[in-house]
Amino acid sequence: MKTGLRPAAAAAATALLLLISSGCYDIVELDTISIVTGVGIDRDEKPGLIRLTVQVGKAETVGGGGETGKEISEKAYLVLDATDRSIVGALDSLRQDNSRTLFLHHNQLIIFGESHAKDGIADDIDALMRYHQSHMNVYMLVAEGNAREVLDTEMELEKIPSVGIDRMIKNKMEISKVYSVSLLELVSKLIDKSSAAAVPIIKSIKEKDLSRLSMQGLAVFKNGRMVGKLSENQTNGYAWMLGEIKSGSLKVNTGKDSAELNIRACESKVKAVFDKNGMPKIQVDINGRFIVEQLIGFEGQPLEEVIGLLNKVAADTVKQVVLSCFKQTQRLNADIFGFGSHIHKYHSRKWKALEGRWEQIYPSLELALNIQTEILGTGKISISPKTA
Amino acid sequence: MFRFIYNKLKYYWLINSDMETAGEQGLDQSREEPKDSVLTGNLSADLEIIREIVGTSPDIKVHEFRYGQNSEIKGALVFVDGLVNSTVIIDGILKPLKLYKEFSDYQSQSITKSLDTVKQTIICAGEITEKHTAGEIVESCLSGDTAFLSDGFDKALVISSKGWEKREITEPQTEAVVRGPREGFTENFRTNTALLRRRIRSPKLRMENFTIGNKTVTNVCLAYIEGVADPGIVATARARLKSIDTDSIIDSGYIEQYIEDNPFSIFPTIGNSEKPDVVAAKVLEGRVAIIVDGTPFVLTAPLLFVESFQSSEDYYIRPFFASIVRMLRYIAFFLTIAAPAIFIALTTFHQELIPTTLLFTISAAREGTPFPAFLEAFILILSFEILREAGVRLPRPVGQAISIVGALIMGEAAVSAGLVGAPMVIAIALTAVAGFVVPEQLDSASIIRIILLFLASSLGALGIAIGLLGVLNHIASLKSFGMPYCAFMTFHHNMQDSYIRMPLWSMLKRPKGIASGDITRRAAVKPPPSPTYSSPSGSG
Repeated sequence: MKTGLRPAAAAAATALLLLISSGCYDIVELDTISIVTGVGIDRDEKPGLIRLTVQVGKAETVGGGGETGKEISEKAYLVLDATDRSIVGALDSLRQDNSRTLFLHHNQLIIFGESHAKDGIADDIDALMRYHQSHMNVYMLVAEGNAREVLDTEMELEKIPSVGIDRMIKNKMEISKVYSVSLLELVSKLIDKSSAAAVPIIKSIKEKDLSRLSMQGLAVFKNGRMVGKLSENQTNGYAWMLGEIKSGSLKVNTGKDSAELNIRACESKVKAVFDKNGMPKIQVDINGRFIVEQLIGFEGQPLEEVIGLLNKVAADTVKQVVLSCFKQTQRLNADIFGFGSHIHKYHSRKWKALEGRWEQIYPSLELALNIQTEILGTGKISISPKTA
Repeated sequence: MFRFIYNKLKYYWLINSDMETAGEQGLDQSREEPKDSVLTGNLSADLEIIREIVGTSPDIKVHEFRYGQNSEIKGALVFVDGLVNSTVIIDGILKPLKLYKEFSDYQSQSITKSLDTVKQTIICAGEITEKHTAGEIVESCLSGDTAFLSDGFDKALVISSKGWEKREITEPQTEAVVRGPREGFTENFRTNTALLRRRIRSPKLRMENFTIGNKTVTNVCLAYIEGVADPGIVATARARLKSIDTDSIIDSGYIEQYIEDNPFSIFPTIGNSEKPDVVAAKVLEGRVAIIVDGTPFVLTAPLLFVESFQSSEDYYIRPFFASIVRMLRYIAFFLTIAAPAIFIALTTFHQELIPTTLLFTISAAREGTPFPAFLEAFILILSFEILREAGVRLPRPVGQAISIVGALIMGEAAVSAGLVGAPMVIAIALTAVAGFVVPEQLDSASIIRIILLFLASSLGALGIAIGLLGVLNHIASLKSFGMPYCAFMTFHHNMQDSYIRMPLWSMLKRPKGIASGDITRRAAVKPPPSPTYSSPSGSG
């Protein structure tokens, strides 16, 4: 071998060896993993322990491949659980007791059991933020009852419940995005000491042999602990206050007649003003635009009159739900709207004085609501046989 | 083994140093010259010399006859049976000689003069030359000419009488088009030069003849348009053709391998085409064409990487769809080299990048397959290459049956038996089909595909990145006849014809670098005139 060749041969051999000796270091064959689609965290009967539930999709029954003609009647998912002091410990024991590695990259949601949520979720969040397989865009939910029950609820149309819940959330987001809270959003609310977080509540409903899931209301978290709930109506108020309603309908009642209004757009603007003592007052301008969907009653009334009336009652209705929501959060002393952080952002000097007292200020915070509504149209018809 | 590699490398260095010098000075060729004995003038002695050179091949005919006023002069024709047109021999040579009876002053004339008579007055043929040596005579005869020798003349007349069986001009098998000319080159040298000449009538179209190969003595023609083709490229081509030292040229592929810039690259740097319209278009862009006797494949140089994605049809159809199709070819090329690698990288390293529902589908197909994903892909690629190779070699009538059994039945059976997963089959099939979209790079793509697959299966997406970077690096380093292989691919160049095909009326200049001198196609950008309607005289 001549000298000129030596470096070249060495380089080639090194490259080859590097390639081979890496031994496919990070390789994960698909048939050695179990794909986790949902994670639930509950309080265990024994004090101080948590029960981690994972929902694992069974590829054979989900995917289209494999033998054709095989009758798929079994469940397309498995629910595994482990009890430990922490999430990490529970994940470890789940991993050791299984033939396949847990694969959490495709996890869709994390569900906290109600009682566990009331105990506090800060430690779980800490672990979830650190764990490398956990993603920031997972949806967070609170289960009414326990999380295992929700994860083990078969859905009629979806093979894997977690995927179904993911779609439910996306459907709900068509109405308002307050129904979707990701890990990142939850964490950023929890980090901000003055704010509180609102996480959607999911419930498993069992009726005879049928079971279904339902998302109603929000759970309010403060200082890493669930402190109360918002009803569905109050949730609407929350969405109105944030100006985060994309579609949906508003039922209004004039006392005698009623109507369904389709919400086309909604905006809100928050402003903080201060009295001479330096106490804040929040002004919220809400602007809603509607289209008439259905009129119930209103016999013989002229159209202009009806529209004027509708405008007024719509504003009243919105005001009512918003106030109901605001009152509830004041009762819970949970600033889910982020009024505190608004003051922090726009009046940072004044906030210094308020910051320490916000807990005391919020329950008696004054709110001035200014609600503008506009009826954009009357649907496909302008003259109804009912109106004059 | 290292010794072997070392020898190869030494050859590589040698080639490189050769290439550098070849541009300036053509290498002397040591050609095996036929034995040169000057004709004596004695017919039987001369024929004896010729017989000695050619041996006793039955196809080399020596026809002795008598002619003259009283048939007193002995003459002989030497030709190769099958290479000559017998009409020329009978009607053009034998008949006139035998019927010409005015040899009254024949004997008194000097030898030169009487030979002139025969040449100028008697023989009817397109081209007659005089040859002095037996070697020259034999060489001409072997290329289809007929030699006339006569007693008393120390010269022979070589009469052009080429005429052999040849294939008709047919539609080429390789470069099918929907729209555009259908004729293709043939194995016949003259037909091919004529086909090119017929498309470019300009007198500036130059053709330079070379004969290459000591044993095959193959005609090779270098065609270019003077004033359009870059003189440097023409000179390089000429020098490289001259420097070829070999005993045989069977196909233009031989020439390609002797004169290409990068003999160790998997990428071709000399193009080939079977279609006169393609070659004419390339010559008009300033390239040189190399026509080789005995093959319908004409070489064009320099070849750029973008040319692989151009098809003659791009220019025959309107520019919009042509541009879309061209971009499609780039995508197809990327797919054909990278699809299996990406599939492997995604399914074994980066499962988090696959949408959840798709992951379940792929995962279900993987369930129960015995091999690692990489091996699965490798087996499928290998069996596809086997099928393709078999498909080319198979006799036409059984070809279809075999491809159905091979591709359809085996693929279906392998999936349903659980040996391979269906998504993998789809990925490989896509790869295979996409490869044929860019036929020029079919060979290189097959190799890159396997390299990328190896890299992807050991390093995942990082491996693909390394591999693609390496490929990019490599093609950026290539040159073809002095032109960078990647020319016209970046914003430094005119990209009117690279990723999209601009309208013909907006492509003003020939590709710079390939063409020099007369590089203007059109004077100015001017769309076709807006129509001024003259009322049709027939109607109304």
